[in-house]
Parts: sequence; structure tokens; C-alpha cells
Amino acid sequence: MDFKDIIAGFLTSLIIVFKRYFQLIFIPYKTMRKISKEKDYVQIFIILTLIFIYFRFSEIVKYGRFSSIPLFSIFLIQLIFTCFFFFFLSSFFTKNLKFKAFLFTFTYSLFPTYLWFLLNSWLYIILPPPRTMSFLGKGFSIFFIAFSISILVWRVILFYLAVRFSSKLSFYKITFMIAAYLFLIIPYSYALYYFKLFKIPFL
Amino acid sequence: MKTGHFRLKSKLNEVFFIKPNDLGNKTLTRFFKSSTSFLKTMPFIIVIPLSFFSALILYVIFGKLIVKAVSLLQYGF
Repeated sequence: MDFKDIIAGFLTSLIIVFKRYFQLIFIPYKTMRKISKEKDYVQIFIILTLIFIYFRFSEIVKYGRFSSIPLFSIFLIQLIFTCFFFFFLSSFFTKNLKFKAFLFTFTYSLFPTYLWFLLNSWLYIILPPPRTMSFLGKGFSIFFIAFSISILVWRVILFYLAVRFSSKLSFYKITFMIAAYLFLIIPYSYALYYFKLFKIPFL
Repeated sequence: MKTGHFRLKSKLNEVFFIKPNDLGNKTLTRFFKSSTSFLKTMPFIIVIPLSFFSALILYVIFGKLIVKAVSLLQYGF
């Protein structure tokens, strides 16, 4: 495999990542089903690199916060924990599970989170907080809340689909697993807030 | 012909990759399937208007608190 092949392979994976991101907006169900069968680990590397670039960018925008490297490390541990948590719980109900499917679906399902954090950091530059009680301030607040709710709903859909296609379990079992996950994640998020690592966890 | 058969077979394998959801009650399962079908393709057609409506309702209920919450969220990245 020469250098040209490596570059061609990398560019192909990059195009696939952006194509999948685009498809996750319009056809999340079909796209997540395809992602659960993915084998190309370069795509995961690309997604994680994009997220790392965001962390570096936010470090510059928000001067004085924690360095991007420990924050990115926390995010990576979170991601691996999430994959293992659902893989472990799912293994009680079904056999022949592939960890790879969990890794790919959960990494791709982070797209709404990534988009929210990225757009929020740009908005921080364009329209720095705090918001005022003026007409424009109120209007922007309603717009921002609507935008955040849309992204949150999309994130919930992708998260559910990630669990569904990687575990192949039914709705009730998935709901139970997500409830168990939230039971751990809510106090963890509070701890992150308390130690001023993340005001809103990158989940 | 062979290619068409192969495509159909692979498509069916893809579609029946997982068992369809069964909520244990026919009416409940039908309701679940009909309500989630909107979210499988182009979810934003429903999600965006509903989000704006929810944001307006939240503003009507909480008023100034929403503006403060937005400031908090903007610092949250």
C-alpha cells in the first residue's frame, strides 16, 4: 500500500463521513442501519479529529477554560464507557453482539451534539451573552431554545437508533437500558458541572 | 436478472436485519409504528415546528427565566 492509496482511502472515508452526516439529517433510520454494519475505522478517526478540532477552537474562544486535551480525554472516556455500558447490558439479552457496531453507531450519533456545541461557540462570538430583555433579546432567546430543542430531539432519535441497531433489542429493553444509563449519567454530569469541567456535558 | 435478484435479496436482508418492534399489544404496536414513522425519514419537518411551538409555550410560561436560561446555555459550550 503506497502513499497514494493511503490518501485515496482517507479521502474516501472523509467523503463517506460527510455524506452520512448529511443523510443523518434526512434519513436517520436507514443511515443508522448502514452505519451499524460499518467496518472502516478511519471514519471514527475522522469524527474524533473533528471533535478534537472543536475542543481546540472552543479553548481559543473561551479563554481561561480548561485545556482542550483533558476535556477531550474526558469525552473519549465517556464515549468508550457508553459503548461498553450498552454492549454489556445488551449481552444479557442477546448473543453474537459486535462491539464494533456500538462504537460506530454511538460515534456517529454524536453529530447533533457536535453541531450544537460548534454553532453555540460561533454564536458566542457573533452574539456574545448575556441576553437582554429587549425585543431582539427575547426573539433570539425563543429562536435559540427552539434550535436547542430540535437538536436535542434529533440527538434522542439518533441515540435510540444507535442502541436499536447495535443491540437489535426491542423498544422496552432499550428504554430500560437508556433509563439505567441516565441514572448514571445525570449525577456524573452534575459532577462535571461542579468541578467546572463541562457546564453542559458533551454527550 | 441475476443482479436484480441479488439486489432484492440484499435489500430484504438489510430491511429484516432486526426484528420489528412488538409492544405486546396490537393497538399499542400500531400506534408506536405510525407515530415513529414520521421520525424515520425527514424528522425535521415535524421537529422544527414543534420545537418553535414548545419554545413559545415555554416563554409564555416562564417569561424572563427563558432569557436567563439562554444566557446560561450560551456559556455552556
